[in-house]
Amino acid sequence: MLEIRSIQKTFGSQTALDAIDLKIEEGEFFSLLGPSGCGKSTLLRLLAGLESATSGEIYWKGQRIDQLPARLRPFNMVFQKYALFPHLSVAENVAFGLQLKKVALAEIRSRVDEALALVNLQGFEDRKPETLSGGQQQRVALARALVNRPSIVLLDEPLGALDQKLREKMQADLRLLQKRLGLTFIFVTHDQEEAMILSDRIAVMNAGRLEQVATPRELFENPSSLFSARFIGGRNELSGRAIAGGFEMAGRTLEGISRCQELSQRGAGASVCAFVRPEMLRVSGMSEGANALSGRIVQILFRGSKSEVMIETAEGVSLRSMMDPSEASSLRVGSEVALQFAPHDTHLFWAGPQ
Amino acid sequence: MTQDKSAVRFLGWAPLTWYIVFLMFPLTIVAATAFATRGLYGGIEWSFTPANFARAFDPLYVSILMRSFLLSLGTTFACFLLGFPFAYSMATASERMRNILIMLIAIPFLTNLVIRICALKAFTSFDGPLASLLTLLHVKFDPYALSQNGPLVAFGMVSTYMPLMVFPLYASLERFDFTLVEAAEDLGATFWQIATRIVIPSLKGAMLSGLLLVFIPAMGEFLIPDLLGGAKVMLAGNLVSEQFLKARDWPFGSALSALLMILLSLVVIAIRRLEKRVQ
Repeated sequence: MLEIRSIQKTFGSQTALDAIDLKIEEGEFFSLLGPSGCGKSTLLRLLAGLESATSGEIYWKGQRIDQLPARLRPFNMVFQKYALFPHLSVAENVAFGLQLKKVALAEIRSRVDEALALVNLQGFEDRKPETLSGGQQQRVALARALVNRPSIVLLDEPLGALDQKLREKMQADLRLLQKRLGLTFIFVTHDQEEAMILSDRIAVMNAGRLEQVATPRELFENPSSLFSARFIGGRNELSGRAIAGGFEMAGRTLEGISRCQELSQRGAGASVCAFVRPEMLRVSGMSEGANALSGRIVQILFRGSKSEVMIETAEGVSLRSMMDPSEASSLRVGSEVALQFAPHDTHLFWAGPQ
Repeated sequence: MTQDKSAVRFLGWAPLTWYIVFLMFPLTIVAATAFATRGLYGGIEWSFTPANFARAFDPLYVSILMRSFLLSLGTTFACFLLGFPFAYSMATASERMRNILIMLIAIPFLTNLVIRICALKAFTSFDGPLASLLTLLHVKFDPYALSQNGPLVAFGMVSTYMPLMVFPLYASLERFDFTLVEAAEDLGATFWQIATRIVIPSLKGAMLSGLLLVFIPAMGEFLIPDLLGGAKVMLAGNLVSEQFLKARDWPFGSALSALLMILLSLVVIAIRRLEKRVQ
């Protein structure tokens, strides 16, 4: 297990990482997700040993490793722009780490072959990196890390420079490879969709802090903060005030909603945001029941497996609902509908000081 | 497309003509003169003889050549040892600092050599500013040892040729991808392994350019040793110039120049060979 204990990192007066506590299990595909500048790459570089923490400790299998230089850590990194050695061939690039460890020549050969086979690059041994496509370079970088049999593979936005199609292919390959080899992957990305597809668990980061650490599903269904709710998946937001056991907006109330930790300390009257995913917002005929707002359908967009229905409420808020196309076929643009906010799908977040 | 090519070919003629008329032709005259004999009153007598070349291998002249060679070699290594860290810090400095450093190294380079050397000579002269300053600070020193000495020559040589080393190294380091260093570190490389396996191979071309750019002109240098070292030793450069200007032995001067050129060409070829083998 990798254990990160109250890691802090400052660059001058800038705090890049603030009190990070994290445990990552062996064999896990773990993603660090956040917008640029949130500290996710800095955390990865700290793990690699390319940066040193201002304070805090890192343990691997119970051993403290944060004072070890990068070269002595049992981790290998896949860099964002691959960082392949331009003067060495593909095979020499992959063999580099083994040569430094004075591994026997015959073993180097077989392990390099094995690593290149793993990433489907047989026959490219003697090519120079500059003659390869982005995706191929990416795979050489991966082979160069894997060949050392690292305990953890650190990946810094490795798919960022690839086009969409190749990216999707590499995502599937990466996930398959990780499961097959049973390795621990720590993956940095700013792409929430990519993190959702690949990861066993995701740490959402914001301004040097961990917002939430959870499985993709948990993050989608139960975001613990407005930031992580907004960062992952689609969103509908209503701003209003907290009342006992619910939410109030322009005289209308949504009840039975109490799902937010940070609100409990603030109590009634605080300005809050009611959050519901488009997938969870139910649109029905005219019968306006409890926890519902009325609105008018502005637009219906067909998105293949889903239809997106855009509604404007009587209060002038624009909301979106995703539903099965068969369900949407009974709806018409311009008709009045009721929007149902199911208590267990609606989340209240403190809207912050305003 | 074909028109473009012929235009390019036409443009190529100008430098080629220049090269032939102003370089190859005079060099041919030098080569021809090298086989002539000195006339009684300093002219050229056109009789074919290899005697000038034989004379150049006199131990006296060989030792002069060796002295030049060693001075040039020393200058080259000193320039590299000092220039590499300088180029490195230039390439990794902030943009503001980088511009200041470029100016610092370029301005002396743009000042006339003679002016710069004479200024240094004046500064360190018997009753110059340096001597006055040392007296003022009550530092005991030998007033005769301040100027016209070896260290001053070395300083003059290194400071003059340093930019020729720094600029190619800087240009190459500036484009160097420093994440390669991190990648090597991550893969288990020590400081020396990073230097020898990653940095030096990536900068090989620039390093060889820098070494040659310093070595070749330094080999013919005699002004700096003369002005700062007190004209106590003869070097290849002033040996040649004296044949033309003082001894008026043009054939021997020509033979010496030809030999120097051959020697330098051999050095260049050897280095290029070395470069290929490293690859």
